[in-house]
Amino acid sequence: MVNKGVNNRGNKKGQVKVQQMAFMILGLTLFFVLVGLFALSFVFSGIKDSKNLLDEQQATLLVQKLANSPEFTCGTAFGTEKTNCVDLDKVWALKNKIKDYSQFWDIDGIEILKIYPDSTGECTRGNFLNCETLTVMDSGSGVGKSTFVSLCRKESDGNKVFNKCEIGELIVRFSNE
Amino acid sequence: MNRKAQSEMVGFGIIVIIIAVLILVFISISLSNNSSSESQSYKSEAFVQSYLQFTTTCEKNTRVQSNLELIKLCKNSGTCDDGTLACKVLNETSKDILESAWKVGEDFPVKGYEFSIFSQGNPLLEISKGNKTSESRGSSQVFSEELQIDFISYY
Repeated sequence: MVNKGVNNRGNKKGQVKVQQMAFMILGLTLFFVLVGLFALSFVFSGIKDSKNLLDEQQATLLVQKLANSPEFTCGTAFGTEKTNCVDLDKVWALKNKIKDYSQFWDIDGIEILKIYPDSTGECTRGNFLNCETLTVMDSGSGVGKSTFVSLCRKESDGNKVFNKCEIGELIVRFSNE
Repeated sequence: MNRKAQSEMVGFGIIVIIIAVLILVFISISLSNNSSSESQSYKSEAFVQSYLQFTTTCEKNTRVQSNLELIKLCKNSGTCDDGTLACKVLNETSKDILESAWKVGEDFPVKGYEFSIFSQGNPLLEISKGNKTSESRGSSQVFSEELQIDFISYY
């Protein structure tokens, strides 16, 4: 009888120890899982930032590619070869023939925005020198990505013809897909 | 029994302290990486290029000057045909262009910017606006005659 009682007490003690260990293991696992999640959230937040930056750079590169395409670029018309330079005379010609280009680029719209010097209104043949927005391809929707360009044209003051370059933005609209 | 429990507690405490130290080291490394996250920006690069091509109001020998030509004129302490100092025109034009091209503030994605032109390592023009943040994107372009143009935008 006495032996049985001692055995029971020993078993109970063992059970408590096993329970203690189980709780300890459970607690430690939970702790490590939380630490792991914390670390992962840090790592993934960096990846998200990098993705956003790469997306922005890719979109800007696409717009720059368009700005430097033969339909837009200044080439050597304004002196030496320039990058990110849009020939406004070419753009006017393109605007009049834009229907022929509807399937040429996989884009929804093209706009040119004059940034400096400040001006207002949509560009027409009449106010070509003093306007803000020139819609080359009308879309009305889509996500707009832009890059800075210089908007160059030939201008005359009566005596001589000179190159005039202003600062603008080339905005390209892509479909939301 | 009590002693054993105490030593277990001490062991657990040590594990917690070690892990806490590891987390702190990890956080400090992550934050120090973020603070120096200045990356190349194609948009800043495009801005500097179009800025340099801009035709200013300054005429030299009856020829209108681009910003790049104006910088070179300013470097040599030159004047425009109407007698205005090239550096004055450069300063005013650059300020106006930056104001129009980069909207800065809490309501905009860009929180601040720094624009500087160096000639042989010496600053020729320095314009800044807004706040400096830990996330920056910039462009640095070096030309002949030891001319360097830097633009950094803070997000």
